[in-house]
Amino acid sequence: MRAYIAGRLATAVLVILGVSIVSFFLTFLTGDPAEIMLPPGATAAQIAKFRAEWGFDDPLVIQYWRFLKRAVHGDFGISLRHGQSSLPLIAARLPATFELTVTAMLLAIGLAVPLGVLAATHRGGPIDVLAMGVALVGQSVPNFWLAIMMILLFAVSWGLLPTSGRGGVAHVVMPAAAIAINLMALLTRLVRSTMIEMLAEDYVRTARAKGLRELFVTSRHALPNALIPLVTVIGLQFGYILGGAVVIETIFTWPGVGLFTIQAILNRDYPVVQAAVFILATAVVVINLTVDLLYVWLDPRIRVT
Amino acid sequence: MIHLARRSPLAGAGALIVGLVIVAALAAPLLATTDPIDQDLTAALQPPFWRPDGSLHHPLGTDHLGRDVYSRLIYGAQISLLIGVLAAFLGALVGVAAGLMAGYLGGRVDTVIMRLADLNLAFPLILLALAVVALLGANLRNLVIVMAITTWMIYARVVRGLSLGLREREFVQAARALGAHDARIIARHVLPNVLAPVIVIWTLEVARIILMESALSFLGLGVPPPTPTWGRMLAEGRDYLTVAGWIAIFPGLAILLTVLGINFLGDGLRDLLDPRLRRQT
Amino acid sequence: MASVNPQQRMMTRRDALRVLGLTAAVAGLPTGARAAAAPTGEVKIGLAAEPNTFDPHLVVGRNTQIFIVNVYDGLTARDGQGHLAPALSESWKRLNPTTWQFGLRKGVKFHNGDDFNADSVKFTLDRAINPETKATVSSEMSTIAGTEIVDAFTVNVVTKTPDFLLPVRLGELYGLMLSPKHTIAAGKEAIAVKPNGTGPFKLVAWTKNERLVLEANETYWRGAPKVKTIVVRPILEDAARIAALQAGEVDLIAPVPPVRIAELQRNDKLVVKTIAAPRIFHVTIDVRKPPFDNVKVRQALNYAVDVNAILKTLYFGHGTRLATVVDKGALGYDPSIPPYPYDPGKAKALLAEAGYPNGFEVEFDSFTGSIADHSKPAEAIVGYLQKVGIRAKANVFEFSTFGPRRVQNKTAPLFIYSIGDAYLEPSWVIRWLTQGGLGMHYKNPKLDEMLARIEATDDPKKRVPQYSEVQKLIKDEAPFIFLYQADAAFGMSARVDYTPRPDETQWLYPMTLKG
Repeated sequence: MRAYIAGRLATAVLVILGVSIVSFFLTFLTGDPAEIMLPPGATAAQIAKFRAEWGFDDPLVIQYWRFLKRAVHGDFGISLRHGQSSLPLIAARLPATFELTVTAMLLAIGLAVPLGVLAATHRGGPIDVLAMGVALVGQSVPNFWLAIMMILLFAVSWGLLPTSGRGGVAHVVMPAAAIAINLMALLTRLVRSTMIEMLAEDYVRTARAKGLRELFVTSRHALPNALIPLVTVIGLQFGYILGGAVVIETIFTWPGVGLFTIQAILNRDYPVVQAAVFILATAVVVINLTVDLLYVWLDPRIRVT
Repeated sequence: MIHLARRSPLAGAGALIVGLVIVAALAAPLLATTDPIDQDLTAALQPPFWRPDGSLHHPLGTDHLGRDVYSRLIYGAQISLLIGVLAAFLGALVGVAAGLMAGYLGGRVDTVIMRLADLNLAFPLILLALAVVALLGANLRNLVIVMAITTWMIYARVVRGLSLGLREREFVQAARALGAHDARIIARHVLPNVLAPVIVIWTLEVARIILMESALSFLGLGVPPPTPTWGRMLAEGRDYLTVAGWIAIFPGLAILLTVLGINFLGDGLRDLLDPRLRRQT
Repeated sequence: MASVNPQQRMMTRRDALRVLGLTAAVAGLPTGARAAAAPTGEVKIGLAAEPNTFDPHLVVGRNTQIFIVNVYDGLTARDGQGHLAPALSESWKRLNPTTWQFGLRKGVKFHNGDDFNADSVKFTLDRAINPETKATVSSEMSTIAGTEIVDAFTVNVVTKTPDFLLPVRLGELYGLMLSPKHTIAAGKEAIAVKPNGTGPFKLVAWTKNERLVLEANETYWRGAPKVKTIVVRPILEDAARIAALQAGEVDLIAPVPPVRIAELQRNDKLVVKTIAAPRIFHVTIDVRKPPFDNVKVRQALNYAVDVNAILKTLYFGHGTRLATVVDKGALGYDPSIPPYPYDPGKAKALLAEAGYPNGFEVEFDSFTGSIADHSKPAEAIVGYLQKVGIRAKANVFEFSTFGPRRVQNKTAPLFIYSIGDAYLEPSWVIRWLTQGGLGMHYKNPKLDEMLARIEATDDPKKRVPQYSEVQKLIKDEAPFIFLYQADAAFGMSARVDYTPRPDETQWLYPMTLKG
């Protein structure tokens, strides 16, 4: 067990190092920010001077080392666009993304579990077919299209929900739903198939033979075990959830890290892009690590390879 | 195919839908009524034929430059399928090779490859794709490569699992003693077992890649105009949502139905080929 | 004065008004009497982007420039008709070709109470050109050699070469004034988010990407604004911004995309006001390489594109066809010069005459993600070119990639662009468009000579007929595909009264609330 944990930690650290390399080199694939930052009338000489002043002329390895040293201290440089330190800018937006993704996950789980259980316990029946239909469609729908259709219907036509921005419960409903739809579909199917297997297990049959009521059997015996794979899947899907948040945040102008990062990418705001990609990827690594360790704790028989 | 449909109605329905899309993509010049990039500003923003100012000449209406939505939809299938199939294929090629090496050879090779996979999976993929395409430029080649990068790890993991420890098995050791190369052993003993799950994964990945490509297209980083892609049509239509909703609704539906069909097919195949896979994918 | 005759008294008063630079025709700038009532009410505004900083020397992008003018003042300003008017400087004159003297307004205070005087001007201009500031505006300020203080309210600004546009430059564009004491004490990072200007509004709160709150400066030298609080929300997406206006979440939005204008106009709770924005759209032609070194080919390009159809369908009529690259509101715009008509037959004939009866292939660059939409008109233009046999291949870049390409002269022979004529002076635009580098390669010594003569003419009225000649020359030479200027549209609730400015700035001082 200890060896496993140590191994996973070591892996995580290595991956984070790899993340740092990629996020650093990502922003040096082409061009440089000097030209876009200066007003249109700038001459080539002024641009060259600008580049030298901002340190874009040093060899790449030196720039990477500088980047890493500073990153360890939480210094990702000053945002080219906002004139302030990058990390605090991103950290300020993490709560918003957190709110959105957690709400989306809760929504997804909250819908998937009952739907999946119902489908499993009424296997083959109309409820099952309907649930599976919904799940398949949910997995196939482009969530940004769904978001636009929702805005058109609920905000513009019916005026029930606000169109954009972050605020109360009413503001988070549509963006969270848009992100949740794909995950919910996936989880519904997972819950259903796991429940079906659980319900066929020996110990469940034994419980039924003893005469225990169906609902009791379901909730006390089958369900908890069915939820274990859920944990792993959510962890694995976290990267996708963040990706979904990025696009949806743009559509709803949700002031989170995703929107901020897209703007930074399009504005060539290198320090912010580096910081954001680094932090987001690291978050995914940490979550995956947590999920793996949690999984082992929940079911010590299993060693995730 | 009827044999397939009888054994799994899901796969059958999926195959039907996918078949339709493939036909649309391949026979686009025959099925389309106009040149999809031919603009006619005097006919801009015409509604579909069932509206009073629509006409059968443009059955699904026209967009902001007067281009026929129906024809663009048909041609759009080409790009979606092309990128989806090619990227999934490329990813499968790389992923299966990587998985085989990792599982069969084991040791350091295994560690390195799996770390790369972990590294790749750690990045929110759409962010990575966005950044790379934004920086390197959006064209067919870059998109296929970027999409392939988002998919190879999935094959690698599964294939690795299936080929783990194979090298130490007796029959393999016997074959090697007789002079057989590793490559031959892999081809004869591992690949056949791996084929079924890879096909299922590939199918489902095509669906996922089509969704991701349309998202990139939507954000303006897909195949550049004037090539019609569904994601781009959706983005263009979004600007005209309140005056010409048809421009956005139809491509969105096209994406939905295509991906749905592929998912049907993939699920059906999975049920047919290997019930074990339900857990892994 | 005991027995002064009324005639004399009237003249003296008119002289006084003239010294202040105001005539009866100028609207929107009261002479400094305090406004009667205190500012009241709150207006919520949705904009496409928020400023990147409130430090006037670190602005990136026009979006920032046009907004921070609410917090600062420059030495000059534009009135409602676009004419140059006094602001922090009451008068200015050219002492010699490289020296402008500015007489400063007395009694103006910064938001924190510091006095505005010659020290402020010298400090601000020195800071702008100081390499340590790393000012993003340094290229536009590079004509300034130095600033001399003559007395507490008079400065001389010395330029390296004659700069006839200096008064405009030191207006809202690049001349927003800082307080030396405060700026030095607070430091650079603080100024970006806690500005201290002389402007009609103070920035009281700013949560980036969420909201920005301005409050009326009750001791503003033009008189306090009528509105007390302005809350600004950046709403990136057009659809979201418009929906916010329709739902009453905001009272004013800018910009409104042309496709939604009609819909908003149908809503009787809303009002849409448009103004011809001084942003000149054009397609730059690389005249150095064949076939574009042949003027017939360039003219053919102009005949090939139906610009009026583009204005009608892509802009829903909210734009103005331009015959050349001079915008409607600029000094010397000559409406009598007819634009090239749409005539694909003539285009093909000209191409044949030039030796290209079967057309030719060419690449065409456009981009997304800048202050205005260029990719849609580019698509339409490419379509038109293809119809006359010019097989144009469109490349679309993201604006931040396109910028460097242009600057390094790596663009396609044809590319669409727009230049905001913030100076409202054709000479600046034309100079920029013919600089012979940074993507603009058309150079004509005769044109340069005509422009030099114009720039040496101090009297604006005398520049006007010279500009007509310039426009005729440019039209015949056709170094661009001439397009249009698009309208800027502001959508607002019926209770807000605001007229958009002709210089593209989002200056909110004149805004009032009805009822």
